[in-house]
Amino acid sequence: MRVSRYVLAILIFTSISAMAFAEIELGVGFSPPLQAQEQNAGMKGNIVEDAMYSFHGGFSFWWLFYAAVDSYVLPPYIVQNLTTTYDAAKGTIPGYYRPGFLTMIDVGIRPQIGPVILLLTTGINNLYIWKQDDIAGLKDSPAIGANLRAGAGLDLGLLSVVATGMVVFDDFQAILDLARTLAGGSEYLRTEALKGLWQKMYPTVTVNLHF
Amino acid sequence: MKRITAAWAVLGLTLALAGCDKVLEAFYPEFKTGAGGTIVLNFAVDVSVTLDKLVVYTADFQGGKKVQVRLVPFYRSGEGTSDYYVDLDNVISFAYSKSDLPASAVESNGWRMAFSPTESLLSAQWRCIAWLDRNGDLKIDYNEPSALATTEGGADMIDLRYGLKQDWSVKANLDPNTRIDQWILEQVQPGGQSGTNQAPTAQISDEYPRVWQMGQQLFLDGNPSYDADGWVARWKWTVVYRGAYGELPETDPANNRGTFEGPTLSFTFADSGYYDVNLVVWDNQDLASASKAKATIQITAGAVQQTQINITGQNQTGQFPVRFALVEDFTKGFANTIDTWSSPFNNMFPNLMDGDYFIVAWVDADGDWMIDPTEPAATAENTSVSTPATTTGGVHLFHVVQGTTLNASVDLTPASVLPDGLFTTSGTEEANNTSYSIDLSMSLHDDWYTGTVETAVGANRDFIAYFDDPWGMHIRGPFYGTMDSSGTAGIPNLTGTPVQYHPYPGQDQLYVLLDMDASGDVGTGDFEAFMDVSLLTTDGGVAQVVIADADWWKVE
Repeated sequence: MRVSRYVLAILIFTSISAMAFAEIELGVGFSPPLQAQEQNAGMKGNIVEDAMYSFHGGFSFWWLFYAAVDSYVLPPYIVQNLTTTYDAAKGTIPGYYRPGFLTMIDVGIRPQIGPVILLLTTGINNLYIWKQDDIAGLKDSPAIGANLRAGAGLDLGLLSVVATGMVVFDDFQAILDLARTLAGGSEYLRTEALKGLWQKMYPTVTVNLHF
Repeated sequence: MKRITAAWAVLGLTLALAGCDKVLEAFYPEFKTGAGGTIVLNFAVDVSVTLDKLVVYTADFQGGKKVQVRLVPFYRSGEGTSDYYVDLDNVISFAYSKSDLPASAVESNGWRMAFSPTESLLSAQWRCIAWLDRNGDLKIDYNEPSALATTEGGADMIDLRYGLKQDWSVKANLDPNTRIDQWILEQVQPGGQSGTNQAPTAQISDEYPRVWQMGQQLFLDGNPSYDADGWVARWKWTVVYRGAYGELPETDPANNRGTFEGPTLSFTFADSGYYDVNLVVWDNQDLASASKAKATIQITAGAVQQTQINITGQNQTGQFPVRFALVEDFTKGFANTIDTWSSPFNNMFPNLMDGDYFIVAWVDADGDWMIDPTEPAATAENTSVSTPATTTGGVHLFHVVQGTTLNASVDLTPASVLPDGLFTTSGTEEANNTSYSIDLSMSLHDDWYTGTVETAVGANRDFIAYFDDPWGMHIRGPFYGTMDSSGTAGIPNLTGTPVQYHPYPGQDQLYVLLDMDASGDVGTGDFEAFMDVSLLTTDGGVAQVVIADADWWKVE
């Protein structure tokens, strides 16, 4: 494929200028255990009995734009819930009871006003299951929907502390559906959508080291 | 310098991620192969002809970790041979984390659960093996705890033959933090705790084609049959030919095409027409089921003409999936489900006989395929099924003619759902066999509501009202009856002292027939309700229902 010299020039300029006005951050995250409300006891996707930890890498440039990779260490029961499927003929097919990494590759915006950092990203998710190469029929890491994250934090110089809320959706279409509901749905639907969003939201506090 | 440091950091992170398994094992050391510690599972098994149930008891195990132990029928091809086979179709599975069990099964120091082994499981040729199945694939994987004793592929064997009693000890190597302390299988005497034998219930799996081609072998499954205080020991199938149009009497012995034994039936139908396949079961104390289960099947001479159901529409409820169920008789809830599917919307091609069926649509927030109280009402207010057009709210009655196409559109925007304590929904005149839904109350709370309803119904209108109570627990009535001749008294049978009423306890719908009066006058009535109402005209005319009086309030 031939690339126009103009496009190439723009790409090179963009890359160089992005690096020149960019900041890299590496960090670790902590997510507290969540106690599911009694009426939602069946919503296994919301139950997180143990604290979780995550690894974070971020790249911000031009003050506004932001790309990040976050890997959450998932307990086996959550991996099992994520990989459990339902088949009309066979019923519920239990997932894999193994720990795993839920890796989120996100893009979005991260404006900083003084020491205050704001954050809004979305991206795709990928699940790595412990020793997944040994699982027959599972060749690749399964894609686990899309995510939406929002957060705020403080820039402390070399360090920053950012608190985010994350919601995992089935796919981007679900995010668009939600946005459509929030924008134009009935009062009832908006209430339900916000309620669902709040119930599915998973908080994380990340401590980042800036370079 | 900063950039170089960052590059090294990224490289380090990359290397760390390259060793994903090691990182995960650092967080969850019990997944390390050969981790220390010992789990001792002590079984005391008594499987004799007098055994009614096996009860599994275990002391609590720590944390939220889940370890699965499975008993799997294990038989050998013949006495004296060394060839063994594992039958994965008859797995007895137990050992879950405590939170997965009903509260009644949880005790202060552990939990217990009972299961009823089938007779075939207890036959002389069967063995059981057990292993710790961490990933739920029903296979002994090398990275799962080798555990269990010394024989047969790392698993210990347990002999479940009649009359044998033995203690069984199983050991597993695991991290001490996830150990299971003790397991005991206890004996329960015949008849269970009550001492009175209860009749078994005959059931045929609903997942069979309603229409089948002549000459092809059909498979029916009677394994859903059950016995509350024992196990099903005998199945008897009777195949009855009902004629080309279903006109022949079932009781005529001349139409009997054979009786068969066994939990399943494979049968090749020789003639086209209609058949009834009846199932009666007996429990381990030779008590027959009180009623028979019946499967009615149409046999066609030529290829089966499938009915196509096209589902289109949109889900505006946000992130929740929409479920659909094709149900033969929704007055019995999901018991007669023929097929299920979920959004995204797609097409289905079921084999259906001519007749009436239901499509149920709902939003399934927790993925358990049940309509739960905490889930959005999902009443599918604007749902319609055309060709022919017969609809109700979230539950759709439609008529199937083989080989035709049904177009169903679902718009999960409950536009007429109003906030708690207020509803002003009113209906409009509708063409024949159309309907609309009226939400009498909100759906996401466990409160009782009371109020007054005024209705106006078109003259000479007969209609069926479906009181859709998706949560199976909130309906109070009675709601059924006949309109008075003048109409001035309103809905007499909707008044009166509220009583607990549900025709099918534990099911999802109250099926109500209201035979409205000729005048269609306005009537009033007080009742308590927590439900959706859908009206379906059946007499070729139009119907109008107006719900007025917006005052509803919680019953304290």
